[in-house]
Amino acid sequence: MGHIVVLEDDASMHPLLESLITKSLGDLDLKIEVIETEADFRMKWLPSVQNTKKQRPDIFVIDVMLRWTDPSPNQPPRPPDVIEGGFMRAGLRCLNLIRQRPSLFNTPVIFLTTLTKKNLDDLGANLEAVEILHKGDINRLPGQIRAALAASRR
Amino acid sequence: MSIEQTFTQTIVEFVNSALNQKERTGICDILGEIAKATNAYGAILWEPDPYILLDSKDARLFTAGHWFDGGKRLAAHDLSIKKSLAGSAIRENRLVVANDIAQDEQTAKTDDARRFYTEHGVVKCQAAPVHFADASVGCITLFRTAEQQDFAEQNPLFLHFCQLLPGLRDSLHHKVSLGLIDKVKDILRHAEDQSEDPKAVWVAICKALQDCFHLIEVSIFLEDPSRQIGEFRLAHTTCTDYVARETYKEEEPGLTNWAILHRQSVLIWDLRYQRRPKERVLMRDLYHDLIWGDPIGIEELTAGLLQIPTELVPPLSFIAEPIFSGDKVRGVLRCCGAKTAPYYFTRRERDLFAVIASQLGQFWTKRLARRMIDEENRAWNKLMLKIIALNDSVNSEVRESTPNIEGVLHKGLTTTADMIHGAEIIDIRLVDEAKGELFVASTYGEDWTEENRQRRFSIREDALQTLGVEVFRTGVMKEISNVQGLAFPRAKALMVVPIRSSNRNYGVIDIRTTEFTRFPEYAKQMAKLLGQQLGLYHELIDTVVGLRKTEQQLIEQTRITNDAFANWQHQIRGPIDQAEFRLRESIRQDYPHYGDVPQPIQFQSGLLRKARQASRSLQLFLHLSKGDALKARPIFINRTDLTKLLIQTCLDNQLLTSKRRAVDFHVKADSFKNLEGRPLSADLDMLEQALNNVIDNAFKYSYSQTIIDVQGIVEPPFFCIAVSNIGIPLPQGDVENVIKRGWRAEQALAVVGEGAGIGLWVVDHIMRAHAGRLEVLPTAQRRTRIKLLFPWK
Repeated sequence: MGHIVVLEDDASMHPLLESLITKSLGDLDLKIEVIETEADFRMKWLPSVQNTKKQRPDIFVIDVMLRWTDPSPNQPPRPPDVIEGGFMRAGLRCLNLIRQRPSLFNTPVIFLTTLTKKNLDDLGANLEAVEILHKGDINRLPGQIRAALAASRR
Repeated sequence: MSIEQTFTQTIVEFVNSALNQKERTGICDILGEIAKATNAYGAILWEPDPYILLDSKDARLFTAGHWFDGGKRLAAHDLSIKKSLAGSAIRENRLVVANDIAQDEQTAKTDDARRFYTEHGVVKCQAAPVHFADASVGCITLFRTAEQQDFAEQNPLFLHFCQLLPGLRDSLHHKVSLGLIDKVKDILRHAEDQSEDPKAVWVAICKALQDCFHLIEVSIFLEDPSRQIGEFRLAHTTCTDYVARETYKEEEPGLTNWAILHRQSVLIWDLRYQRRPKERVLMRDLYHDLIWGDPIGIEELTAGLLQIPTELVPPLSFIAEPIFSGDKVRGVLRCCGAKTAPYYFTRRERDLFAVIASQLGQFWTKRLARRMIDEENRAWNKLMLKIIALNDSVNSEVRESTPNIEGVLHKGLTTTADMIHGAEIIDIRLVDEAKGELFVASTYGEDWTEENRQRRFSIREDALQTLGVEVFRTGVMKEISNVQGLAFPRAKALMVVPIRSSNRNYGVIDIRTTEFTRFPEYAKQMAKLLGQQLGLYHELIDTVVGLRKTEQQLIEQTRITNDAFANWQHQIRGPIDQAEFRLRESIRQDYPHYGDVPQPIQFQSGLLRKARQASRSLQLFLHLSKGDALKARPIFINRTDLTKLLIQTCLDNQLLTSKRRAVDFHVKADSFKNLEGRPLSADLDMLEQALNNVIDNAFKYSYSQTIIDVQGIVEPPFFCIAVSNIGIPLPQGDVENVIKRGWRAEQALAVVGEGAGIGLWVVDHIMRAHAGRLEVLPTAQRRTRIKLLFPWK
């Protein structure tokens, strides 16, 4: 069973992504895990992968712009890099964290974004070995996932 | 009375009379008492020449005082010690007598002596030595006419007088000296207390000396170092005829200059003898390098002044005493030519003049210092006012649409001329960076020619460096005293100050004076200050011009951007409105009950409505950014329509909220029943926008598993739509901030991603457009309430 981790904070995109992936990639038997905030990814998901034998994902689909956390009485404060970089660089920070972990280093990453490549360059993104997909071309996502999975298994 | 008693009484009367003398001429009155007491026609007191030893063949005696019955003048004032009766008395140290002057071998036989004997009718003479306290020996000679009896070989009374005279003369001299010193002190003290004009002081001092010594000339020359160094100008004189020139300089020849240059007094026994070779040799020996040859023809001049024959011109003793200020010579006190005996200046008079000159020196030093301080204070006060005026001028200039630095620089020039005494030839040179040159930007003074104005000065490293270029490069002021410039021949001193601010040099100010050879210290400080001030003004105006330009560019850019946004908004609004409308109609037709609408279609409908809200929000933002107020076009909205709108808005926003958070809503329909029969008046589009913004915020900031309440409240004269939620707290201090454009609290920033932060800012303007208001109530127990109050009639 394949495992896709989707970092996307826009709730309206969740059903669309799930529907697209399920319908087009049903043969791959993929499990989709949705993470909605940067805080959840950095403070809950990453430690859980590190510390346990939790299944490593086969591919990441990351929205470049993510909010830090959801409102809650105990919501974690924004760390300095988040304050400085803002929500616009959240996906890039998550990418860096992925690349810093040996167990995740080679996992394919697809950036899902409304930003252009120039916008990403201006944000200082290191886009080596990262696929970029514009949200307007979301229909191409299944094809890119399939290709990325095939490449990583070779 | 016995002879002894008579003798004693005579002596006592003589001593009392002598002690009562107060004037310098009192010595002549004392001689008169001696003559009267000894039945003589006249008496002369002789003193030896202070320069030559008594046993020298050139030794002479000079009159120190005389008295004759009838007050006749004495024509001859010196005698050879070797060939006179007085000289015999001194050499032999005894009383000598000659009852027939013509026949006596000891008596003087010179032309002057014969003339004296003839004019006065004297034929008999008696002389006795006088021993002075300084160990010099003089003599008193008594004279009798032919009608008077012969002098006796013994004359104890006369000898007594000769013994008493030195002490009495010294006593008189002390009295006169102290009196004069006190008088001078009083004059100077009075001048200090009353801040009198120094001119009046010099006049009073000269008069005091003149009155004491009966002098023809008393002159005071002074140097004013703040004006001209090395030039000693006439402050006052009692005899302009004796003053050959009004200004003396150190390097010039003459008696007065010698005193200045060598910092010593010059004492000339008798100026009439300047033509005598022996006198000239003597003076040259006494005063090294003395060039003595005052061309004014002193004897003839004096004869004319006193209206007497030339042969009766009295001895013209001369003294020039330097006036010191600290160790610097700041002037000369010059005295010449007593009209009455005693005529000669001796060492005693030189010491007295030295004391008086010292007093004058102290006074002049204080006066110069005070004048300098007053001048400086006045100048600084004036400078303050001038700087204020300059600042006002610059303020006005800065407010102009195109500020002009040239006008400011020219005002700076005229200020410099006003402030710095003697500044007459001034210019400002600015840098032309493109050409690497300094050019003359502004000038002041009549000496400027067109040719000078056109000059330019290269600032390149390999070019000839002028003083102005050096100051420009280094930023350090320079000055030259005693300048002899080619461009401005009249200039005597020059200073160049930089015009700079921060680390940038704009140019230099050249300041020249034709009045004196150096600028006072305070003037240099002022010039530096003016240079800095002009530099600041330059920088200020440059900055303002730059900012104005940038402002214009920004305004233009903003206009272009706004126009582009407006155009874009217009382009997207149409299609979005159409798409939303068509979908809505399609849903209405295909699904009579909203609950039957499949969720994906609800999603699309909600997304389209959100897109339409975003488009409207952009339009409102652009409108408000131009500074225009919103104009509401109200219609009546009844309870049903309002409730539907509220529910739809809540549903749209709930669909876009993560199900994981499970935020729900409750629209209290009953609370809007008051609108039946009395609908709400509002612009429908604006109302929809406002409700969406408020409810969107509520969903964004609500904690998971909480409920958002929406209700209607009557608060006369308003109808209020209130939205409350439990979530991120809003402290009291931030209530006013939430409606500011772009503001978000830290906790809010953590939970939002996209969004401009203008939601409540737009709502606030929408409510104002309705003559209503937006109320944001601070959080109590994490519940925040936002109220939209609409006027409700």
